[in-house]
Amino acid sequence: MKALLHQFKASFRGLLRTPSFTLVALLTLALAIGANTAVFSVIKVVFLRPLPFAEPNRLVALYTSDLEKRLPGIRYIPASVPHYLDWKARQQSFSSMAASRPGAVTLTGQGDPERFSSMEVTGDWGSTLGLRAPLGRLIGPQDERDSPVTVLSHGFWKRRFGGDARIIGRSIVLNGQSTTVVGILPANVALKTLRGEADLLTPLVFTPAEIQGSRGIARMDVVARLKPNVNLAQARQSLEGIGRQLQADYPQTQGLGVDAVPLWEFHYGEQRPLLAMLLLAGTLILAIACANVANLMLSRATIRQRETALRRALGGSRLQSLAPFLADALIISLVGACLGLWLASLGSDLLRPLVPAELLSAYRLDLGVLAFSFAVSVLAALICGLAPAFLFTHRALSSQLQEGAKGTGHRPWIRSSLVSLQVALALALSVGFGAIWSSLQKLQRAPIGFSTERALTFPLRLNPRKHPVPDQRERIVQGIVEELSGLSGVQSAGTINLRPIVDNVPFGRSFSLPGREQLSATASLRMVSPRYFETMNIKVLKGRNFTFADYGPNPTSVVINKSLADLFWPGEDPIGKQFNHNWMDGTGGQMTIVGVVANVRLQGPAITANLETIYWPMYHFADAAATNVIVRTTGKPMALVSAVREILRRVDPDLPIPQMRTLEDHLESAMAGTRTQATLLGMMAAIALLLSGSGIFGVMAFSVAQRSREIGIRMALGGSPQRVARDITRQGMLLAALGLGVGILASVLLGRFLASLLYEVSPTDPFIIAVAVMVLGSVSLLASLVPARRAARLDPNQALRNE
Amino acid sequence: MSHPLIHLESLKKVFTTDEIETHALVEVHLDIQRGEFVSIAGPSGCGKSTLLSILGLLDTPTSGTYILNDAPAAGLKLKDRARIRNREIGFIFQSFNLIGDLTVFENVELPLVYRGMPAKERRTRSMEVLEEVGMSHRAKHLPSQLSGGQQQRVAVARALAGRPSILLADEPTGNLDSSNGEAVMELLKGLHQRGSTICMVTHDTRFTKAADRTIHLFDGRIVSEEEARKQHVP
Repeated sequence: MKALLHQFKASFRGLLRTPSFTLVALLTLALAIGANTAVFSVIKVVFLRPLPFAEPNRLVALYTSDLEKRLPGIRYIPASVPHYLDWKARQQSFSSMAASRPGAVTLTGQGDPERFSSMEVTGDWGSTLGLRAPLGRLIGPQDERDSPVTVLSHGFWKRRFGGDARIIGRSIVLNGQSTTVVGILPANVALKTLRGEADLLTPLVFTPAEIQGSRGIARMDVVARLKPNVNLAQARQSLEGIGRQLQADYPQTQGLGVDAVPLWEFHYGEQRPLLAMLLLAGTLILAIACANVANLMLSRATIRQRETALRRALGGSRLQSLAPFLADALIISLVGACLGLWLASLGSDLLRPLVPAELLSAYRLDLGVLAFSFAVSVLAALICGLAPAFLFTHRALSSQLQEGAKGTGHRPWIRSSLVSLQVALALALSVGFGAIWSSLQKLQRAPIGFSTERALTFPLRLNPRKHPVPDQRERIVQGIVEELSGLSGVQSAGTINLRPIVDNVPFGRSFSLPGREQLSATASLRMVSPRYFETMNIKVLKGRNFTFADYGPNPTSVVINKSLADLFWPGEDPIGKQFNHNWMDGTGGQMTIVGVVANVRLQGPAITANLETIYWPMYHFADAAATNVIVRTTGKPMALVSAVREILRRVDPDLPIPQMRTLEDHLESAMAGTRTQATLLGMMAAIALLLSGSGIFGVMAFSVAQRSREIGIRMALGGSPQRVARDITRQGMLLAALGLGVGILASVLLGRFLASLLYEVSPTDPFIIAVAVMVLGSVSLLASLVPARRAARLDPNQALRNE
Repeated sequence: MSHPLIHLESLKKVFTTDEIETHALVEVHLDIQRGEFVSIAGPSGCGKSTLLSILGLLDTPTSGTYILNDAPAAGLKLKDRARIRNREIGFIFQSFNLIGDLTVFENVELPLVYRGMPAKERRTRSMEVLEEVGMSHRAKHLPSQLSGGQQQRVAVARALAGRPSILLADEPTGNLDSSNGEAVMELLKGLHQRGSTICMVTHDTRFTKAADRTIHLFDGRIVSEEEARKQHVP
């Protein structure tokens, strides 16, 4: 024990005597462990939250499958009420099945009316997921019949009611109805809906009209738990049979089947490419760091070759002669890990803005990632420190004692290869970052089809109980829009049921041409007010805009967009043409085209496919009391907020005051994901640059130190300091060039991981690769120049004398 | 009378470490004529190698005058010193100092590379000198594949390649056995007979006999000068 302690003391002194080695090794480990831990902690909380349910791997999501690909771009079609009930009645594979659908409630009687998103759930929703309420109970089967109840999300309970446990059993007023709070959801359960996270649960009670109603109106998410003896493949096979039966029983649903995916896949599947990219980037960082540490330890072991031989010559065992290397590796690893933890903690504060507000409570440094990064780095340090030392112990002592001082017997190609590998990996990361950053730039300039400047927008949700007649609601909305249009500083105002980019909900209808029924397609459907196009600055390309005359109980005029016109009437004037629109259950009617407008990217700035859109002259969807208002202003949009509030209060004091934001804000939010990707990848690329730069520096500095005798000889033979510096720099740049060559190949190969995340940018864009090569080349040059300058300043007399 | 190739006057070299001054060379006066073979002898630490380093422009004197080939060496820039070393001086070291990663041929042509000589001319010249020292058949070998004597022959060839004004040899036989040592000395004698100027540091009295003149150093001073079989006391 005493000997061990002595060895650690000696190693510690030795490390202090070689500050460059110690600093670079510590910095490498600290950066790798710190950055990886901080970045993966963000990835975990944002993208990899485990499903907080019992046996989550047995949970599946059921969805309507689009067998005839009539709705391209929509991955999972929700279920209609009759379909859900049939699936539930006919299935044999699941121990339970439940449904939910997004909703919204207005909370009154607690100050100003407020609107909250809710989730309606069937009575077996909680038991299917295996959830228990930490306080009170969940929605149960009895709630589908009894008086109104609600369960609050943990966040909403804390936020709105200060976490007061006495709320259980109390009544609150939701949508004008007294509703009893019966429970609180666990803190780690997020109510994920298409509209974001819901604040509370209410019972989902099907009306007779819904049960008997359209199989085309599909808004429900269905979740089921596999029976213990049934696997997913068997369940899917069984569901396929049920789908066929239903198509036979209900011919109007031809082309609509039923399928299932694991619940995790349903929620996070689309983020798989992003996760793959970030995981790959993290792995590359770790690999670069390991290569760096390996190189440093190899160099140190080579330098100490003679010392090892001497220890053995003095009677030390092989293990004893390895002790200094082990001690060095352990000291470096442990101190590096501590610094890494400190850096990770700093990094996690820096990365906090990347975490969505609702996830901040769950955001913390991930100890698993920390332990993994630490273990890999330490292992690299130990293996690379001990392996050469172990090999030296197998060589003849006499030759080592003679050669050791001159450093012969080392393996420079291993170190050179490691440096080139680092440069290659850093280039791949830099190209990835360049592509994502370039994609973000292009997204910001993407032709989305409407103008976001000086536009205020907010949702308008009328209470259907207070205003049960659709015509009455239409008049109220029309009145609000008229009043807003009259405000000073307002250019125009309009409404739409689902705002482009903001309300990212698939909502469409299939249609066909009279007499040419074989020609059918699906288009997004949007209900707009008369001045909507003008307010959004959407160009009318042909025909006309809607006029007030188009608005009535059964409108027949429609405006279509350019994509739809090009698809069905290429080279023709579609104005005056008619088409049949159909719900998925076959109901529908005939419409006449009065105008063609420019394309608008409804689902997001990057979504350029399936843009076909039909605009109907309605203030809101007839069955729903929901619409969204857009106000184009002449000045700052947010300056109008109080005036808008005033109008809403005057029209209906019970109307919840909505959150108002600018369209620019919404567009920024839509690009937040790409921005986060760019930031994370940018940080990783910067770290990779730093590490590979330090790698080149380390190897070249070591090389200069090892070759001081050779440099002395060269100078004695007439090599000028400049010439010596040039030779050293060229040597460093050769390693970099080799790495850059391999890196370009690696970038091309790894580009496929990025392709699906990019907008109008190729992952192998020559310009991006060229810039990355230039940046990395400059870093390599800088890293080579410092040792080269040191070589040039070497005193040849001294260098030769030392030998 | 022609000017000497090397002229040293009142040369001093003082090393200072931790405030302790060590006088390595004290008031050294020395002329070396063209075509002369001078050996410098003396006990270990007497300043032989320091003197040779100054003569080879690897080190600078603390004071005094050093004129090489009619040009004063004082105040030369590093770049100019490198150029003069390349063109005027050929070094032969005790430990051969061949570069291990380069072949025999590449080692020999290195001074010519630094001179910027075209590749073809370099090749011819390098092979000529390798022929001269009897090592042309080993041109593609690495130094580690040669014996000590062979390595020193290659080092001599390298020193000769640039056709320098003077060869500076620092204990050229110090790392060799007697037969190899003698062979290298025969080589140097042959070169001298063909007109080369040589300045050799050695403490082996067997080899000082080959020189025209032997200078004895003690504590940094020239204490005696011995011309072939004749001693003068200054």
